[in-house]
Amino acid sequence: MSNTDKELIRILQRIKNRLHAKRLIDYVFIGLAGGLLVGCLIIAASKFVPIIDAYIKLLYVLGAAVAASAAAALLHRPGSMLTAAKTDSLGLKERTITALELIKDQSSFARLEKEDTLKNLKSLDYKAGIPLRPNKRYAVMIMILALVLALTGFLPNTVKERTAELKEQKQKLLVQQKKLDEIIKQVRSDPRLIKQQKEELEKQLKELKKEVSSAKTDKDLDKALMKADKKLELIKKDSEQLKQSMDKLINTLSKNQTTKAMADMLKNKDSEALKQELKELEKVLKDMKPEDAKKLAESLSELSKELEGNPELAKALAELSDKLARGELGNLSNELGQLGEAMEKLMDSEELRTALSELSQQLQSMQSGKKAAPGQSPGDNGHQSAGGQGSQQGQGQGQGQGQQGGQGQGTGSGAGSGTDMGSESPKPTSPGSSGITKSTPSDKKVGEYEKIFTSKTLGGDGESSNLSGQKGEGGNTEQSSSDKSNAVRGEAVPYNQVLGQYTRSALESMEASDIPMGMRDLVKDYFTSLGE
Amino acid sequence: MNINENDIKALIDSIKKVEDEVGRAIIGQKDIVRQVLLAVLTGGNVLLEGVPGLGKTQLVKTLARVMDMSFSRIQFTPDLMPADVVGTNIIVRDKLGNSSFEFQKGPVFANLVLADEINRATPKTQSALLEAMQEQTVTVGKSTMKLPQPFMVLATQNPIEMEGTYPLPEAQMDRFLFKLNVKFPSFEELKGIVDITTSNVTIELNKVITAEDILKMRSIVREVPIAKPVQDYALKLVLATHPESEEAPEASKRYIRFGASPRAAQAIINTSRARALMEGRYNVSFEDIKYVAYPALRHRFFLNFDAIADGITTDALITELLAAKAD
Repeated sequence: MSNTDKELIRILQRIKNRLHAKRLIDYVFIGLAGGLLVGCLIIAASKFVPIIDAYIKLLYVLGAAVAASAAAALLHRPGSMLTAAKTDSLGLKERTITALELIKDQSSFARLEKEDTLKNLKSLDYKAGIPLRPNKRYAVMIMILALVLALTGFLPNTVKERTAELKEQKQKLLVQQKKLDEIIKQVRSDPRLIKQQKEELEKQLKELKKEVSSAKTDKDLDKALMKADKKLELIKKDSEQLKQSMDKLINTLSKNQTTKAMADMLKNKDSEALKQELKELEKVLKDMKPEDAKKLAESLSELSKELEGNPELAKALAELSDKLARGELGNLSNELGQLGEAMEKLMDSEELRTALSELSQQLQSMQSGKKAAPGQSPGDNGHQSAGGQGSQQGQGQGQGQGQQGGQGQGTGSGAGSGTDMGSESPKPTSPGSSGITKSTPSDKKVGEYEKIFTSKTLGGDGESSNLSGQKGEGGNTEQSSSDKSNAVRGEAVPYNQVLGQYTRSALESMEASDIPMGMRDLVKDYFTSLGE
Repeated sequence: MNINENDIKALIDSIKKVEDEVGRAIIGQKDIVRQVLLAVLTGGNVLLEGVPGLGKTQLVKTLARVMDMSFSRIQFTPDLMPADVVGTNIIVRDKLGNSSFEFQKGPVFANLVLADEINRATPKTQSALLEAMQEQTVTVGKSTMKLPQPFMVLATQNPIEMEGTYPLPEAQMDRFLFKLNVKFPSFEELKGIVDITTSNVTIELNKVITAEDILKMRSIVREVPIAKPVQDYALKLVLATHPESEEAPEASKRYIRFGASPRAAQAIINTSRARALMEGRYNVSFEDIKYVAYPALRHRFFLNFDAIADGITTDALITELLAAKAD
């Protein structure tokens, strides 16, 4: 490369830098103009449509537009040909672009052309030709848009209150999301939970977080929380079943002198000692008298039958019991190993149950101030109390304390009235929330509609049955049945099958009564929400 | 051919001297003189269109004198025969009394041929010039003869007296490098013409270059570098005259019947190179392309009825095409 070539490239490089700087300025101004345009639209729209923090959004848009345009300008460096073309446009009559093509060409014409170009470039005041100031057109555009934006600010805001409400709502959601994040963190670091449990809970909580993020109203938020609570309740129920199994196991084991120590260990959740004890037990069982072994086998067999809800433990017990019954006391390590594993799971479930209770409380606390958590409504107590056998007709009546202020004791007559089948566990309406709440979690499978009890005497003269329940597991159940036990029975069906009928019935009833319009809407909304 | 920098610089000087020398005898018409010189430097034929008395013949004569070239003038009339242009075989008798045919060269055998009012001759005679203009040879009978180099035809035609004329066919028009519209002189130019031609002052013209110099100049001109974007612009411009082309702007689609031939592209590129040198530059610019586009294109595409009805001229359309392709 000749000196002329090098010199040409050096000067062109300087012009290129200048062009790049100019491009940066122009791009930033274009970005600013674009941002202002979008900003004008946002501000104008915020006067008619509720947009939270419209001016902050405007600032974000402006910032993003300027940053994006600056980044684009920095990445989009002018090429050599463009630089040459721009230089030629300053009066060099395509000398530069030709010279650039002739770099390294040493023919007479090429040399003359490049020298001529260099001479012209040296005398060219490219700084005057490429001024580092914004394009006038863009500057004017920005001024006009800024003016429009300022004028837009004076437009009357027709949705000011609604926007404020939405803002408050959003802030609440943010708080809830933060809380959920904290709960997730706690679940992750909870030493009481095993890995699978943590994963399961985290999955549920993340789903909840997703739903909370998309919630637009308090109602949506509550729905999401209730849904999550129901799921947790299901997990909790499983673990409760396991607890019952454990209680039975402890009870049975403590009756026998040989296994009493094991029962204590189970009680104390000492898994290491339990493993050790199982090894010891193997030795003890070898030397056990046949009649003692038979006795133990019988009690274990009985227990395995009782533990149908926990097939793993039931199977382990049954196998051990079989061997003991057959007098095969030589090698029980396999059976005892299985039993040990099942017992460990029981202990884990105890921990899970505790963790779930805490988690459930935390979720309910997120709802507090709005309405009582479904699990705490007095209706639940009524439900627990009404779990007796027998068939009765009549009205369900729940009794208890709701968490919502002012909603205390009440009689849950209404939708719950009708023929009662004790075995179907109908849920009396909760006095804690306007006399009607959605039922508490049931044993329904995922994707299945919750079953409700349908009375054959909907709106008719059902025979009365009074149930009173008290909060707490140890609450007494009082039942007073009518003497007409051969009343027409109802049946439990998925609620979607009767929802239409109930809705129609309610609407017709409303039409026939003097109910304020506001209340009518409330009732209509309720039935609509059931259908969602 | 080995070209050195001095040759190039000498060429630029020589052209300038020729231009100045011609300018002494031809008052005004600077663009016409320059465009004719462009044709001389690129070896093309020129069609001069203008009313009588504008100095067309004088221009050709002056050029011949300044460039030291042989000159002949043919006045085209309806009864002019091809043999009157190219020459013919005649019987000659030698000293021994034997007769034989000998070719008698016609007026076409000159460096500069002025075909005055070319559209007045019959197509048969007009076409006699075709071979001379394109191949620079003349064929009579079975013999083909080369014309003296450099050779170029400068034809004139009168745009107003069309009765009894034979408009040149498209094929023949395409063989002219440039079509120049000779305009009526301005007041100042007319005054200069009158001052010179109505007095006893005679202008003695100097021979600035020779025929050999012109041939050398032609080879140098072909070496002038042209940047790719500039060349692309010229080619797109030619394509834009074709209404069926994707490059054609709306005006072209609306008003043009037939577009320019590839000779138009050759003409634009070659003459723009010569123009760059005449401007003292060593490269072709967009401006050069724009300058030569008018004379190189105006006779090479043909307007349709809509254009004529709307009063659109070829030059106006070229202006539009140049602007459309400048983006």
